Amino acid sequence: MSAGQAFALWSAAAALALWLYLHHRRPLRRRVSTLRFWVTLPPSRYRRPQWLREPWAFAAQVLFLLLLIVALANPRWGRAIESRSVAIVFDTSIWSQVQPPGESSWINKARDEAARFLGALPPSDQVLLLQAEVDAPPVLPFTTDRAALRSAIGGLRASSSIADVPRALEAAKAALEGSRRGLLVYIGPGMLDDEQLRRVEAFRKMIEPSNGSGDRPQFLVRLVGGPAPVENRGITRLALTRDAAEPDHWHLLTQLKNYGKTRAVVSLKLSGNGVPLGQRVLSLPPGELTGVHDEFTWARGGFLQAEISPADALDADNRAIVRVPSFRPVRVVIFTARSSFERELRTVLSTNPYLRIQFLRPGISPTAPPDVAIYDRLRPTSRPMINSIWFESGAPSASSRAVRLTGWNPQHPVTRWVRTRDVSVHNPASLEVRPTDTVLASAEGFPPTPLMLAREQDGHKSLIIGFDPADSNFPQQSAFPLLMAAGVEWMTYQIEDVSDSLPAGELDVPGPATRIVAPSGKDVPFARKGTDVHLLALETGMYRVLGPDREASIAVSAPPLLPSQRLTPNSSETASIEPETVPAAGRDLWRWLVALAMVVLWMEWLLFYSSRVNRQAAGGRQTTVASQVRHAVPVSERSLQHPEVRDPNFIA
Amino acid sequence: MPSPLLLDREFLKTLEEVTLLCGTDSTGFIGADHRSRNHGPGLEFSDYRRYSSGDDPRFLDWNAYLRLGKLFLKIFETERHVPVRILLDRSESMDCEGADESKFLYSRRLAATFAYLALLHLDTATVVPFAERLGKPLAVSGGRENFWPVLQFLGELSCGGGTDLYRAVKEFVAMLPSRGIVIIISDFFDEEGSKRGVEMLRSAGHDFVVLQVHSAEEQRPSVVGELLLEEAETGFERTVECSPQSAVLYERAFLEFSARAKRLAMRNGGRYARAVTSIPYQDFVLRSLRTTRVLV
Repeated sequence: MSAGQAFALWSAAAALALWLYLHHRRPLRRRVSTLRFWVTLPPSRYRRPQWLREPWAFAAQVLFLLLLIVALANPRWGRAIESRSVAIVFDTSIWSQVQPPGESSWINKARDEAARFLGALPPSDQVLLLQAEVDAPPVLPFTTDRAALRSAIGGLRASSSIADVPRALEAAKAALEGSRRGLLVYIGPGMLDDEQLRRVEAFRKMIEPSNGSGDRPQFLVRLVGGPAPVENRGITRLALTRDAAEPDHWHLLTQLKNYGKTRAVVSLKLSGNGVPLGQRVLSLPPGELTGVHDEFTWARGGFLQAEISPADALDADNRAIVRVPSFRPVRVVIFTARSSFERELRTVLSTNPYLRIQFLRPGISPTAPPDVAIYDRLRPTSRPMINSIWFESGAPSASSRAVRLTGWNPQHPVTRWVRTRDVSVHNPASLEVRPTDTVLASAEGFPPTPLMLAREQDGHKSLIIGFDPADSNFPQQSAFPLLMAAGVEWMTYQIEDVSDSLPAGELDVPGPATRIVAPSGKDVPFARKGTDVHLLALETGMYRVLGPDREASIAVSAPPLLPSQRLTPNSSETASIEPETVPAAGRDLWRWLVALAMVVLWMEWLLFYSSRVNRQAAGGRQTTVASQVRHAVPVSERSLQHPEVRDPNFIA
Repeated sequence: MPSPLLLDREFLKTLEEVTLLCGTDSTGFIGADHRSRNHGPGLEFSDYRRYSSGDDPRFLDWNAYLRLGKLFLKIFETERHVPVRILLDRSESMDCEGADESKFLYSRRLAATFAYLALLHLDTATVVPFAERLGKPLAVSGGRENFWPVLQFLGELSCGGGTDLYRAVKEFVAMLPSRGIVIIISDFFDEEGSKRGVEMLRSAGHDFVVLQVHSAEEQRPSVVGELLLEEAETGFERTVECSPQSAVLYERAFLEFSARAKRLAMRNGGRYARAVTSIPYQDFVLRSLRTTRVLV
């Protein structure tokens, strides 16, 4: 607000106050029956409002308005302390790890560049330091403390995740919204993918001044590293698939990419838990993604590492690690005295490569305790303390008609994939359903007859099937092997068929966890998502996930397909820092002015009403004196205290 | 159409227990409920007198003749019609609205009450509005069945003009020369006219009641500060500074004025009552008018 505007506003307000003062002086108009009694009252000194009766109160009112308007104008006092806002987006993504031969790493160059940039800024500029990584918190809020900024920049470490440069730029621009213009600078390698390039272009269009008014922040780009392409070859993916016939046999897919402009020959070494598994030499075409397939047998579980050599500019993606799930076949013992049953079960179970089956006559004990026992029409005196499948059936009858099995429980893991309605059985058993049982299948009818139950008792699981497979068409159905496999898996454990390397960045890993330790030994903050945990993994290598009763390890590799296009800054982005005209400023005075205005307003009220009260008291005194002279009857206090009018006919 | 003056049914029922007190002899027709000084046919024994020829032998007291051997005639008091005249001020000053009920509405309710009392006792009720001059009157008789025209008449009245009570009374006496009860309902701010009018009523032999009606605000102004006052009847203006102290002086002047009005009524043989519109009219009628011996 200029001085002229403030003066004009104050003049208008003062004129309004004057009018109100004059207007207020107009007496209250009343229509009365007679004026005869009012002649006893002193006549008002009121004249048509040509003058003020409370000039001091009016002066206070005008002063109050002046102070208020000046406070609105927000004057300042003292030396200028206004500063410009600067946001630095510092890229510490995986590309900043690049260290060309004979040169320092890009992260060091970026630190130097940032230090130079800070040195070019006026000391009064307040600087916000942001990282370009996804979900990375601000490193430092707006501050003018150059030492703190240099220390924070020096403490930044190159991560192994991919940057989201457009998102970081938009966040920085949002942080500058409250400032006059501001300065936004990106410092880093500027490696982007196609999508990020497109978004950066959109950001450039958004931030460039539309009418030359200069209300958008100045955007600068400070790239580190030379214009020459980076000679880098990296492993982008390491994936394992279990062989369908041999569970301890694995198929390995290794994907590699040559980010350089020339063909590269690399040596790929595979090792499991430190034991070399193989080595091969590959020729990688420039800019191409190459997939390599390997097979190996490995039942112990652990970690498989792939590593390429020779070393290149970026070391982080020269190796990748994938977890190899361990494998142990499930021991299943079938107790049956019937050859027909044995034939049907052998046909079904022998197709499952994860099982080791053994048929025994009832009463014979197995050499080793099985994982799952299958009982055919057996009712042992004591319930065995192992997981078990029980086949029961009703008494055979010649007149028994086939019963259709229709009601499958789609929620239970055993029958989740069973949908058939073509199963018909003879001589079904009558099953006793306990309150804790889950009915997996039932025969048609009203009410439906349960023919398959899942039971969990004393930490062991049981599957009770109320019909003889040999007395049904179930073995001919494809659902039967599915049911048996799902039943065994429900009772034992799930066998993992695939495993993939985890890329650096945001990860969801199985919990619970109380602490997660990064490969560098630092604690990693994480969030709980149910039993899983969510973390931001910025390093590659082995992370320790410490739970309340166990410890697990996860292997994190470099992200697949790193962004490989270089940001090309234009001339305005490589220009020097434009000086921003910062108006002279000092301490804000508006608070003091408002406080003073409140005091003046109170004085105005005091002056106004005390003047009125004094005048009325004076008028009252004059009238009382005159009345006393005439009537010699003073005004009693009592009559002043009881102003109500009572029935006059009862007043003495 | 219901009248705005509607008196509530309970109040009308209560009025059956009171009577308008007649202070002087009247010249109305024989046959109503009021006792009179005239002797004649009636139920109330009054006195004996010696028989003279021509007297109605039906009133001879034969018991006295047997004891004394002389003829005495029993004399009874005659019950007469008492014409009740209600002079109702409808000048502009009666229409100054305040926080309480309008003076004019209050006055019309009082007028209706007196008319109802008259009709209740089979008397003739005449409502005569006045301002600077006498207005068109309404006379009703024949019992309370004829009360509705009174309500209708009063409901249609409106305020207007100044006050000249003397002129109005002069015209009233000329129009209704027979004696009766005259109830003047007014604020009596026309003090000189009131004085002359009351004296004229006394000269005409009327039994009159002075009912001064005013609002509580008129007795004690509640507003303070500078006031630009406009007199309702004349339009004159005056600017005053009103404070709690000066309001007390105002009230004193008003009370002195009321005292003068009361003295005027008493000195001329009338009765006086002062009605404040902040007090419910039912209370005023049933309590204050009994206290002031207007009703019994």
